[in-house]
Amino acid sequence: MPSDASTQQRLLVVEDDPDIAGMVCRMLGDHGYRMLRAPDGRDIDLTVKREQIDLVILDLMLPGEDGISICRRLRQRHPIPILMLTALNGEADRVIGLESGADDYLSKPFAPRELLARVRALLRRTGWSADVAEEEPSLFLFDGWRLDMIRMNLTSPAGVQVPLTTAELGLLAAFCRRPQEVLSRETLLTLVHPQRSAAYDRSIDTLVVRLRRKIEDDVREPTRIKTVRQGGYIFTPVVEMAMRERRS
Amino acid sequence: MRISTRTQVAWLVVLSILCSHLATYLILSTLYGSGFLAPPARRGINALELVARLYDGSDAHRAEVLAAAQRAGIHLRPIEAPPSAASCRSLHLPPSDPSAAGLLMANCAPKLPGGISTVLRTPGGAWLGVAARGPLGNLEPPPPRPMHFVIGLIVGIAGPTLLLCFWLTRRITDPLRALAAGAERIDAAYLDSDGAAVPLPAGSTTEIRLLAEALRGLIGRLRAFAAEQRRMVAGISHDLRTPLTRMLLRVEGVSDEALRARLVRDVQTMQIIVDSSLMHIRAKDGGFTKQDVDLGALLQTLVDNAADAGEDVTYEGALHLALRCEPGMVTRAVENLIDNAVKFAGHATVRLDRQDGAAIIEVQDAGPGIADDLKPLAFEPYFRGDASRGATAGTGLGLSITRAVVEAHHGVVALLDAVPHGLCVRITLPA
Repeated sequence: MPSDASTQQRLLVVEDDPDIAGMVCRMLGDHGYRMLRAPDGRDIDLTVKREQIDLVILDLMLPGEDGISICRRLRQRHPIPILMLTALNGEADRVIGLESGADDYLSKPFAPRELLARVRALLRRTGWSADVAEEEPSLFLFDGWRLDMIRMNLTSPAGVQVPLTTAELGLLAAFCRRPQEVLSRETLLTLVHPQRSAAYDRSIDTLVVRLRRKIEDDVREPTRIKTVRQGGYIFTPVVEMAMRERRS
Repeated sequence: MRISTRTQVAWLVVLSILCSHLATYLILSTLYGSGFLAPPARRGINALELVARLYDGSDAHRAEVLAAAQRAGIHLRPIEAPPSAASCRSLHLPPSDPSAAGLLMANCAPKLPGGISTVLRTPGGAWLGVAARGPLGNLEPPPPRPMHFVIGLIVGIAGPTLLLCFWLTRRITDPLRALAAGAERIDAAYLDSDGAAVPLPAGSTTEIRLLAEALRGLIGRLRAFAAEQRRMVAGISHDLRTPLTRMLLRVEGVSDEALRARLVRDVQTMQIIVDSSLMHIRAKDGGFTKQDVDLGALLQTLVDNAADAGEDVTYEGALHLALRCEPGMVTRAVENLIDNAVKFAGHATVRLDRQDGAAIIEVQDAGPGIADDLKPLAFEPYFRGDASRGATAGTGLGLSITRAVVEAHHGVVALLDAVPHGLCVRITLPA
């Protein structure tokens, strides 16, 4: 073991396709990460512990033990972020992946830059521990509504699923995390789009109008998202929060 | 010559009835001679003749014969004087030798005292009168029946027989027709679905049951075949993702920026094709779960996303409309229509309405529309339409996926002409 490697962040790629594994390793290696490879789930527990791995990139479809099961095992024993790669693009697989403990999810084929961005984002989250990983609430209940940030869906009191755009989902989640608090447009914009991506450069007012159409009983007299003069918006309902639901 | 089984069976019944009647006639006429068709009075006359022949003898014997005849239901009584020849109208039973003293029978008109209308002369020359009451009181042959009675009789017998024949043939052939109607429904969509097997028509006979079974077997084999094809396409689509991933990673090594952008775009197009194929197969396989979804919110989400991407797409319709469906697939179905409208007309209007419990989604544009003769083809996978419409590349699965999704929800999708021009695609999703 070269000693200078201790300053580098160590990534383990668990992928059965040698070409993909090789290119992912080379690409991320070029960006300063120290890369390790495993063709399947055997012995990776040992590798993770011995090599002090910082992040695992895990393929969902592996020979032998599948990615989900490996993910659950790793999640129970090691407080490190897991990025799941899969050839399936279905909503169900995303949910299974996230519920088995993966911290993010990228479906094949993916752009290398996208992978790099996800890896960086995961590593930026500091203080990785099993407790911290589960601290973020992902389920919000208000006035009979249910916002599930793992399944990325909103269910009305009548049990009807109400589809939202990604930005609307982000805005509602931001409201749910800080209910009964006056939030300025700037605060909301930061909460909704931390990266300030140009694609989401929509004014908060438009988003609020759209969101009201979906969750207010009467759009003309909103009771849940109220406008505060000179202030911004306030989300009035009492919000119950729950941690990420994990399948054990 | 085309002849229906129904006609065939009807002929079979009618001809067998005729044949059996003819055979019966031939047998009876051989056994009894053609006289067996004589009226029943003939048998009475035979009985009277027998009594007359036995009558001659002592008084005691005569009384005994009369008593025996009485018990047999033949009421005779001796007559003192023979009737005058003039009063005898007809001879029923001429003696073998009329001049000789022998058996003779005559009807008398007017009637003799005691209401006797028929008299007998025994071979011994004694006279007997047939009591007016009783079955043999009048041996006059019945008058010939009028024609309308005969026609009525034929109609009365033939009518019900034909009705019976009609009913019977219907009973035999209806299950066959039902089976044919059932088989008629077997199309590509039916084979793709797990729809009910061809129903066994009520009142099926063994043969029809066998036919239905054979049809079910055939459907099973066709379904297995279709499923295998879908699995193969799904497998190919799925397996393509690994090489596509490799390509995207390799493209990173291309130093020429413009070339790299083009290559990435190619890979992305291929990815869309793969995703579309998988979506198509998923809709056809029915491998999805429905849930209550707010269609109003779903369509607004779609329209807002398109508008955010800079497209001219507007929504007119209910804010909320709950329907049981698979949201991802319905999203894709409508998204494809919006994409088409934007591609060919530059804009789209999305509407939502509820009619009799069903949700009606319309995506309308004011573009060139689709010619009537091409409309049925537009839903076929990889249909490209005419040159102008086909000029823009797509996956070729757009409308085909829309239809597959709608049919997977037991709905209907129709291409209508917009006024004054353009296309309106109407999706009807039942509750």
